[in-house]
Amino acid sequence: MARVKLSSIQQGGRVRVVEILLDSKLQTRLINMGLTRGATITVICRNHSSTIIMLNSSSGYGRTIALSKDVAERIIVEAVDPSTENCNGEFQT
Amino acid sequence: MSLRELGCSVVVGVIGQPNVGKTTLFNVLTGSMERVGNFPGTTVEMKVGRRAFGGGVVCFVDLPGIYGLKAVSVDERIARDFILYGDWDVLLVLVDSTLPVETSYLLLQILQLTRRVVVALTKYDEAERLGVEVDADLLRRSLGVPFVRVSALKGAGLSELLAELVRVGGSSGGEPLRIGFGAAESAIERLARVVGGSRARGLAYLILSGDVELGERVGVSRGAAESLKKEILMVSGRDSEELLASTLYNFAREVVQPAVRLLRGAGGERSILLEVFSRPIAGALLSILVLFTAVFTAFTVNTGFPFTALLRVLGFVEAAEVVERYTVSGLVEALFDWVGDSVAEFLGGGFVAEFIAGGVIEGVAIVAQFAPLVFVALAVVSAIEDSGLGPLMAVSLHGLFRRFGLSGRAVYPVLISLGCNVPGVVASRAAVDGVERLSIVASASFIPCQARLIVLLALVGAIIPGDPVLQSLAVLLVYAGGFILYLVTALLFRRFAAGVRGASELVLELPRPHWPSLRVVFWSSWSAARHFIVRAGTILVAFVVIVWILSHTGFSGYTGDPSSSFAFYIGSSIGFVLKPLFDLSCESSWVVGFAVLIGFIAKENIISTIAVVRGVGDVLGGLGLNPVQGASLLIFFMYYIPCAATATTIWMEVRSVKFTLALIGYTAVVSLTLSLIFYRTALLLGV
Ligand SMILES: Nc1nc2c(ncn2[C@@H]2O[C@H](COP(=O)(O)OP(=O)(O)O)[C@@H](O)[C@H]2O)c(=O)[nH]1
Repeated sequence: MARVKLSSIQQGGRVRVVEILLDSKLQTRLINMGLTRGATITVICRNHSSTIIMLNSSSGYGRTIALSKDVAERIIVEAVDPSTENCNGEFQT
Repeated sequence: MSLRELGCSVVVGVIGQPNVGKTTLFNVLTGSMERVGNFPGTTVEMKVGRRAFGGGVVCFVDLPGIYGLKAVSVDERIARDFILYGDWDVLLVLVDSTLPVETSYLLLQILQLTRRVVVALTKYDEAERLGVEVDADLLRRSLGVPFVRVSALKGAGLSELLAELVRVGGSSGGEPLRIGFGAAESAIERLARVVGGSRARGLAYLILSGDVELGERVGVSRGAAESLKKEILMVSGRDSEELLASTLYNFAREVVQPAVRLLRGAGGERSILLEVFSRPIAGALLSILVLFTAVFTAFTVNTGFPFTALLRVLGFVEAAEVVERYTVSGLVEALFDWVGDSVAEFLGGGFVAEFIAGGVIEGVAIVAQFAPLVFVALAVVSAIEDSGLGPLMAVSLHGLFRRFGLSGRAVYPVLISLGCNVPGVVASRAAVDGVERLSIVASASFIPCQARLIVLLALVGAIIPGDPVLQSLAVLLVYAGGFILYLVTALLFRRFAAGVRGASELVLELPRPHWPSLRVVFWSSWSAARHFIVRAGTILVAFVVIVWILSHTGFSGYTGDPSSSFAFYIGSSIGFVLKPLFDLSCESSWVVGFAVLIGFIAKENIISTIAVVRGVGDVLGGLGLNPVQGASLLIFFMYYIPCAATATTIWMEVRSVKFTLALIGYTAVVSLTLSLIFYRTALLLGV
């Protein structure tokens, strides 16, 4: 599946984190907030300077995180394939 | 002082991720906090709250809100060291019931070190509202520590929580939690054997996550840790920190998720606020509007301005006076005038009577007038924080701030500085990195605080009498100027002093916005205001007294004539410089000079100094200035370092005398230059 920068994902897009290419301090911050490899996220807003994402969780009220554009550019993601998605109500909008 | 000396029978360390509701719960459990010195090796104050329970005293130590234990910043180091080496009986770990899986991450790190833990599932009322149910018994069985559902706002679950804390505090807690780490398991196990002890695996986890300092502390060399991390990379193809964290999150999903039940088809609640604030221009404008509304709400509650000015212009002078009289400041002023007069009458004239009425009581009166202003300003700020609007504003302003090398987080120091620059400078700690932090420290003092607003309004009222529209415009311009100076200074600092290009990055959690809770707002502003008023108040009273003495005594002792007082000599030396620049008269130059000096100590004293020295309330008249001179000096007064307390705080934050002095010099030069440009331009234009 195609790998792209998180910053290029449109509002409403659901993606999975493949790689984080940030310096170690920022990487630690993101990882500690739950943005690890394999985490599924939804882009809930995007504008010229930032991307706002929601980590998908069972409760449907995932943690919402704002990332500046330069951070979002260094997070590599791939689209979530609906057929392989864990379907036990992981996340619904 | 040790916690045991405070009479604590059980010492509880309270810890949780940011926004889990720690401050709120802390307040409900303990009512108030005391500062009991600093955390070892840091300048961060340790705050402790106490609560009598079951015949003993339970003491709660407030630990910083952090996402994980690996020490990247001071906050994490404090929490990590307290957990590993502190003198506590039980840890109270908070997990947000509305985000149970995510906020369990920190808990799982802690459980690998100790099981002397009680977990509070916070904000349970909110979870119920959202239709999220968390099975506390199931979690207790799977993780082996008690989980208690609490709601700080509703006061629910607190007795059960206290009972569990006392029970676990008196027990041994058992072995730490053991989590399997797959591809990293062998490295963890080998490192744990080297480290030794019951919490060895938890320590190995942190060291392989990259906590070098901790490794060295427990005798693991940097090289040994590195080679194990490389090994994990070879075996799994993944960075060890990322692999370990992923494993922990997966564990959280496996263990915590089954305990979470959705009563309705919850989820996907869209936030209108989020939509609006993330619009490029509208969002930023809205944020700026919120900032201004915040300041002026605070000010209007206290002084009635600008309604009073408006009433005056419309001809309702008496109505304006009534409003003025019944605002908080008006009432306080009336009270102290009465006290001052009564005391003067009682003592019957003379040096002592004048000293007490004009010096001491006047000083206390200024503090008393200032106090409600600070309190209301802090309340507005904490309402913005509590509602979750703060982070939204940070996101919306990020687009603007990044052009000046800052991240959207730099809005916090602005917001808080609008109340007072002292906590504003401290709020630079919200910065992403060291350079951003220093640039905020360097620029925060340009944001006009409430004390400067008092000076601003007094002078604007005198310079442009009877025109509330122009007055308001002038006030707005001063604020806009402060905001611009803040941004430009930050940029200059970043580029030229730190030599960094590009902006700081923004990574910020956005809590769900909600109406602020009155209780929370009252608590947080009350505790901040109390601390501030005591500290600033003492300084203020002392300075008013000193100013009074300097302006009423000279080489020949007590004098009723200011121009033979010490103040005259001190003021003249500064006035000597200002005199030719602003064409000041001889009489006014020394008073202005003296006021400038006093302004270094505390800005709000500028007005009182002029009043004390001149013995009149009319500022411009007291100085014999024309409006253009008044306006120019106003600009000067507004932008140099706000007060001695701010200067001290700057020094405390950066620990560099050179930096602090350079900054004081910089603000003085900038403000003087701007005010001269204004003055000369006005003259040229023949105003
Ligand atoms: N509904 C509800 N909200 C809460 C409760 N406790 C805290 N909050 C809210 O959660 C947010 C974060 O709380 P705060 O105590 O500042 O969290 P901290 O960052 O962990 O100190 C604030 O907006 C609080 O109003 C609670 O018991 N119920």
